[in-house]
Amino acid sequence: MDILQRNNVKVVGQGDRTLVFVHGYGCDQNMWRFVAPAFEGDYRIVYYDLTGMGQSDLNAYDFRAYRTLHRHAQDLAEILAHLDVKNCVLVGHSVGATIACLASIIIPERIQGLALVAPSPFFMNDAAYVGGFDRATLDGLVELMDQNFYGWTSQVTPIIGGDGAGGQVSQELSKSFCRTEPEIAKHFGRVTFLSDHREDMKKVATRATIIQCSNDSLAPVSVGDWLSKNMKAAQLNIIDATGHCPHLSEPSKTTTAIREFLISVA
Amino acid sequence: MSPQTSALAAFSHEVIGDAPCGFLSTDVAGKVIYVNETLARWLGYGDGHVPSELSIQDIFDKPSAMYFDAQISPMLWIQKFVSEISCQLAMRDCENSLAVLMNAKIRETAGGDIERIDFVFFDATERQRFEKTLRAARSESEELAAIVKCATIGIVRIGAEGQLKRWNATAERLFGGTVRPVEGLHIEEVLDLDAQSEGWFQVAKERVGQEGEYYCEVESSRGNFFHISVTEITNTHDPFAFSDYSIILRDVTRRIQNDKRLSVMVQELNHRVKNTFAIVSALVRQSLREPELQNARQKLMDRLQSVAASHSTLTAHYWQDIDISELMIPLVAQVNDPNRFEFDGPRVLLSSSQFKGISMAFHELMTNALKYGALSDEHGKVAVRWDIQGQDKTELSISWIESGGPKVTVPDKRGFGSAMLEDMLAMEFGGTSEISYPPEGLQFRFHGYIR
Repeated sequence: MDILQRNNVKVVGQGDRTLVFVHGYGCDQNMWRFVAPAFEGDYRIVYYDLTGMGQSDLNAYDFRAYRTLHRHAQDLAEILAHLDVKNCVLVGHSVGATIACLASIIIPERIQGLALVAPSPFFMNDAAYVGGFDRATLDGLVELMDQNFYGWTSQVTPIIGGDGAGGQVSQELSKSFCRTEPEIAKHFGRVTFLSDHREDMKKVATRATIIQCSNDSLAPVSVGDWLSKNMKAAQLNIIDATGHCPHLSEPSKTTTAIREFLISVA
Repeated sequence: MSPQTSALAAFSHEVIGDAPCGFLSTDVAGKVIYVNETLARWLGYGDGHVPSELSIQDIFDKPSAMYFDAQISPMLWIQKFVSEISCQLAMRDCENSLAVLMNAKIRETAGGDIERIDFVFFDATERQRFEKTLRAARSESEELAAIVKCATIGIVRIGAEGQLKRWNATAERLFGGTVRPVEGLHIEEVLDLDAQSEGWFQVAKERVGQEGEYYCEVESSRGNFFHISVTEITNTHDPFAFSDYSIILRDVTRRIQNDKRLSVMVQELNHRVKNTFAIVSALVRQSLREPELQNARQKLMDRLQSVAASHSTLTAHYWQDIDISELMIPLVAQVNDPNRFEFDGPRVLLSSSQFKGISMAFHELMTNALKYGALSDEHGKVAVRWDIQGQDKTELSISWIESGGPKVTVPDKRGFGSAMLEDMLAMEFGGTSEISYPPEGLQFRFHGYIR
């Protein structure tokens, strides 16, 4: 299986410049469906699923190799090399933003800019750093993930949804969205929420915008602040949005923020 | 209000407000716009009303709020619904949280704008408790299964008739036969042993029945050696079923080959050392021929013999630690009546160098006793006692007490024998020794440390 199949890579749109979308925890490339199409007219767009997520090759998820985000960054670097992408802008959400940053350290020559949507290098509070959560809450989160992946709910209803939701969403859609192999999801959840990448962020030299939601408990403004001060070339852009997924809840504000950044790095 | 309308209001209040589940709606930004009374009570608002500035995140406990943002919210935005999500509600003024199952659905206007998000919560306290127990049990069995899967020994479960049930990857590799292992095949069909081992499982079963376990070392038809151990697995579910058996397979080929090689080497070494002793003895005999040297010659020959004997004992034990009582065997052999030589003491393992040191010491004491001491007449006796003390049982004390023999006189000079006794023991054991000469018999006492 080649790299493009491994990561379910989709290339659409046209343009001299390439935008690569990196999804975050909890879903797959479908996360970008309210934002990315707006760029298809002017840019070549690359979508992909992180190894182990969505329609990627689940067999490629080596639990040892993927116990850090560096392997995911390596995957991204491989995809860019395979497509021979130059001067691209990576758009990453949450943990996908961290992966984009790590990739920019490996292959800075291919990456012109980083649009980081609700990024967080570390979710835990640590001395002066306010990541947002204490250890007990993160442990509780991990426990809850286990509960939902292994509890009665996922046993009896392997596919979330079905007809219970009112019928307008087909089973086929619900099958493909945000569902993944429980063991992998559990593993990736731990990697996502317990890894500390603050030191890596300090090494990122590529120009970046931090698209920070004004009211995001998962990645609070304090985190965006920290990143803008500690990354070498990052600017903070706070948008008026609630929650951790502005590309879903506030797609037009997110699209505008990404577009502004694209113009500034052009 | 007409009677019908008020009846309908009472009905809907009962069905919705006081429903046996929680209802909640938010606007698109997550601000709570409706909560039914049941949910308000669950959240700790006894009067059925929640504060106006409540957001959806506020109703969850901290981990669930985080989970909602990280996992549920994206799913909800993309699918427009989620169902049967296990999470916990925060209960106001209370440490505890309420376990619930949550469904949610996004309501859109005809134009496709999001109007509202509706949530339903079901009390799942009992279910979550039960699931927790199930998960713990599953996680335990998964961990055990992982041990079995990754083990570098073969582990096999078979039925009472020897039919294969389950086996790990190492077992599959060790089976080695031409028959591919499949469930139901007899263990002797898949485990390829040489002809001598035919029927081993029947033997194993009988022995397990008598002794609880069975193990053996057998050779395969490929020349490998296996250590096989068999134990019974009681079927706890079915009182009428026969027991299964667990078989542990270890490839011990390398160990057995090493043992064989070592044994050949030890024999060879022993042979050479014996030859060397024989040559040295011959040299001594030839070099010390003068009649006036005969006494000294005999002494030297005896000492050489004693060293050779302790060497043989050590060789027989592959130079491993040896029990101190082994030292008594050559001593008893030199006494005509075993009643005249008594010994007693606990089992004490000595290293080969300490063993040699003590054996030389006993040789000197024995030679002296036979020549001048208690064993030089028909009546005397020797009693040897040893003991270990101290917290870690490393303090060794030995006494050699002679009695009933000829009257003892204190020697006027310290001979080679007693010098060797004291020096060698002090060196090997870091202890103290003392020889005294009361008239009734020689007494030797020693105190040192086992290494």
